[in-house]
Amino acid sequence: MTPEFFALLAALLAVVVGAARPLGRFFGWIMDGRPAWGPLARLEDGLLRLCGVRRVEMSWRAYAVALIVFSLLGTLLLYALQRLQGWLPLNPQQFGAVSPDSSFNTAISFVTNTDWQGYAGESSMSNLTQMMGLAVQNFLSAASGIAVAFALIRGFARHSAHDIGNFWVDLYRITAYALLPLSLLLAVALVSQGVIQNFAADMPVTTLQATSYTTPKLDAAGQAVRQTVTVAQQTLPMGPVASQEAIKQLGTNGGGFFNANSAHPYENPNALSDFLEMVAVLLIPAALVYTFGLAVGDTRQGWVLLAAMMLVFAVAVTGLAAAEQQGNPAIAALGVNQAHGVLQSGGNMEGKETRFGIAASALFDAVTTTTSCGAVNAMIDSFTPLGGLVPMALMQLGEVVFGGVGSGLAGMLVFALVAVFVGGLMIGRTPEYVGKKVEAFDMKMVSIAVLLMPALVLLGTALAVVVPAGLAGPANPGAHGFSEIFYAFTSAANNNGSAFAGLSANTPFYNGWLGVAMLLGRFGVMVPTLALAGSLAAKKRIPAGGGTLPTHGPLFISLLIGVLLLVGALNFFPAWGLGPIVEQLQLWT
Amino acid sequence: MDGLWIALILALDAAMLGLVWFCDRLLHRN
Repeated sequence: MTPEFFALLAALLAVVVGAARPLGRFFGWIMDGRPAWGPLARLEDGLLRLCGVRRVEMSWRAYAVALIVFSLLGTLLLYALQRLQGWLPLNPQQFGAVSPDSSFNTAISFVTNTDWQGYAGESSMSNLTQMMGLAVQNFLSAASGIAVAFALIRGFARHSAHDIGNFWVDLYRITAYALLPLSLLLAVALVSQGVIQNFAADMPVTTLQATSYTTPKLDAAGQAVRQTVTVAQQTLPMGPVASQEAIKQLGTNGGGFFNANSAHPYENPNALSDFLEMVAVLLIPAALVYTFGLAVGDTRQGWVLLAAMMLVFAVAVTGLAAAEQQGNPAIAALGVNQAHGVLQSGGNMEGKETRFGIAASALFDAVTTTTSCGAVNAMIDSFTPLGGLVPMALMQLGEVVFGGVGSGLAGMLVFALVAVFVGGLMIGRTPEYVGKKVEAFDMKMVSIAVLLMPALVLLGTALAVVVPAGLAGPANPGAHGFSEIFYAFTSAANNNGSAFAGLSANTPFYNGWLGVAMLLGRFGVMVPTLALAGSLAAKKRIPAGGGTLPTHGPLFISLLIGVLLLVGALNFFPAWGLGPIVEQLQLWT
Repeated sequence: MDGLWIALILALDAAMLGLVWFCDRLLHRN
């Protein structure tokens, strides 16, 4: 590892922690529903009235049904938009309809905040689909995630209550007061760094040098032959990139305008844009943790969760950077210099941009997999096996270390309940957390929320490695091919959306099954989380006693991290053994 | 083909509404 890596990590965490308090207070204001500045308040009232929304509190059931129905309508609309884009305006590239299975996958992907992309955006989606479909869902799916976190926070903060807020009011206030202004600021900052924002058709340019390459084709007799193709022109894709890039990062969405995502120079041109994009990803998940502490009347409870998240993240990203900086022994055997120096990053640079190097690539990809963002500025398929294991494992912890906007905090609170439950078992007392007794129903909901994701990942992977349609996907044989499939289902069920890149996933099999995993992985966890919120809100608040496990100190941080790692390892260690671990052993023996 | 994929979307969301009902039943039995 290099000094650049540690400097970048320290700067990133300093900015994120520094912003957590003021932004957390701001989210607290949004959550409390306090009136906005005059004209904005009138706009809020007018728009909500226009949509027929009454400002009444909802039970957890009504909140969950509103969330599911709203997401269903969004899914159907996005499906239709993709299928009809050939007849709709803002399509300068004249793209035809997206295939039915890809439309299904993409519609669920963006509505569930996953943003898994089986397609290449610049060669399949019109500007209208990108803006009215994908970018809109980037806002709404992020707002839905934060709304669920608000509901759970209210569950902890309220006592003897039947309601947990109003979904529609939360959705509006989160979008209008947080996501839109923050995205506007970030989009302008990204444009200043060279990210493009236009409605132009793709631009053909003549290259300085003609490029020749060979490609396979069938001859007249149907025999496979190779032909040489010479290209002297290149097409530069255009479009409204910066506006989508901003919410892609802030909303932990991750779906790139371009197939190469944040490795593309029009999405992420330089080191500063890279840093801004990383900060944007962590900003809201960190702030919401402070909002939680504020709402339960003890900000230490929030700082403890943030400390646990930062510790796990810092150790994981350091491991990732170390694995990548070590380089590839097969390449070293060819006499290639992989040492870090003034003129090169050193290490394993396959699949990485030279403008980012090892440090910024490792950090970016850890940031976007510890959250449910899933954007990439390097190709994870080309990471060393242990380097690739880190993003995979970060997702498999349940996307709770920072996690998705809202869903990450909700997931971490679920694990906090597991931790106090384990602590309670140790000392033989009914577990309590921030003044709420954790009882049988709560643990049933926690169990569904914690166990559904591993079931989806492991069953999905098992299916794909035994049926021909699944085995046709991976580009590599053996352990690496297994990792490609395993990573895809991990990414889908955790609503991350990043890909190992070696998997040909735009097929009816993968589009279908990954779509199922994304939808169940999102709402199958959110529904029990909201039920938990309803149950907690109805409880009385009990004062801490002599037998209460303190949840605001280092002991609880250790217990929480221990539970988190133990659950993750118990679920996934055998599968790690079949994929990245055996591949690492093969590489170094 | 569109009908198949739309039906799958509807079925998955209906299953989630079923999960709401299931959790609610559990809560009331508690």
